[in-house]
Amino acid sequence: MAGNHLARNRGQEHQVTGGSGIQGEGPLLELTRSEHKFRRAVILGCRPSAIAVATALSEQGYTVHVIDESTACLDMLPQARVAEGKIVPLLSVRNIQQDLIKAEIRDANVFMAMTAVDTINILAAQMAKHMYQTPLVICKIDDPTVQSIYKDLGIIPISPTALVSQYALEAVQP
Amino acid sequence: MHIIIAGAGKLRTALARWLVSNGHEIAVIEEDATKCALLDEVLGSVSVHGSSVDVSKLARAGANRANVVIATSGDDDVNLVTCQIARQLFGAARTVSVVNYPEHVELFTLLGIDAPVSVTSLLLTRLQESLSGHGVVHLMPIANHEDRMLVSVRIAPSFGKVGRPLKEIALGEGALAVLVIGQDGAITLPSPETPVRAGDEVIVVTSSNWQQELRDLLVERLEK
Repeated sequence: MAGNHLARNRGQEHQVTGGSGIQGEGPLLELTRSEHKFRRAVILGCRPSAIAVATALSEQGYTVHVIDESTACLDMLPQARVAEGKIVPLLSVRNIQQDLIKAEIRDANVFMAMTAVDTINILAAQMAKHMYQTPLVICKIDDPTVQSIYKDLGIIPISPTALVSQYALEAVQP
Repeated sequence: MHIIIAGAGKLRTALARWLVSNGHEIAVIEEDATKCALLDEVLGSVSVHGSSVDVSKLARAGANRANVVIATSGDDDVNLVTCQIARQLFGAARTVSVVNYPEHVELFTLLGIDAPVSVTSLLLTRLQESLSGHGVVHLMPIANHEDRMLVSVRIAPSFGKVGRPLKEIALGEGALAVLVIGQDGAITLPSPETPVRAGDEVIVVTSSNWQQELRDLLVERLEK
């Protein structure tokens, strides 16, 4: 009971502050997710950064579904992990909703949108957050100005551009 | 009004022309330089060359004073982000978006896009209706009253009530015939006593629940 209560509080933290009529996470979904034996992650986009994250999460006990349009990219996932079933590669049907459902988004604790295209990441992340109530949603957004909009919209936006420039500046001015 | 159109396509050009002829000030954001030149030639300097999810291009299009932003591209993700930038960064009063995948309508509505327009659903409904031969054609939904819609009913010669006054046709609860277009093109504002003639097109405001009933009723009558 206590665990469920915590989960619900965390949900409220991520709730949208604007008046756009978005609802918080349903307690029922939280209950099934918090009681889930295994931790599950879904990653959209199988680029090098996604492969690194998928590998690390699978070592922490996560089952990770990785979706991409290219079999060549999916083949770069660590084959031993794939054989164990800890990483599940999924070839995209180019329909984000169908891809997410196939990756069992309803059972996922974490969703990461990490394709090369900001707008696809933003659509997918908001779909996971607001239609499937995924507790933790991370979204790669390269454009720092666009990234600023989504800070208050229930997802965690990460801008590689901002990170790289920050590291570069720190290297110059230690 | 100042209206920004973002996205390509034939729809966009037709929409832009219509808005200009209705006295609106418009800006069109277009990625293709050749199409920009064509637009400017037809509509005056309206084009902004670039991507609609580029904040600087939206700014150049006058997003901070836009009353409406309309996203018409073939990519739902681009349309969504265009509308969200317009709303969150520029405070656009109203955002309208074409939705290409019908299943995305729910998400767009949830995220506060004012009017998601599902082109696929609209076309599909229209095609189904023209194939079904029921004589009822869905014209348009009525904005802000989602349960209401405008339909057109063509009166077949075999219809049992031909020659009888309009009030004798049970259109369903809450439905109202608002216009009758005769076969000769003559337009009549109908009263309950207006006689129904074969070939008339009756424009009816109806609720979405009653639309099926209206259709069943007509089919039943037509088959008699």
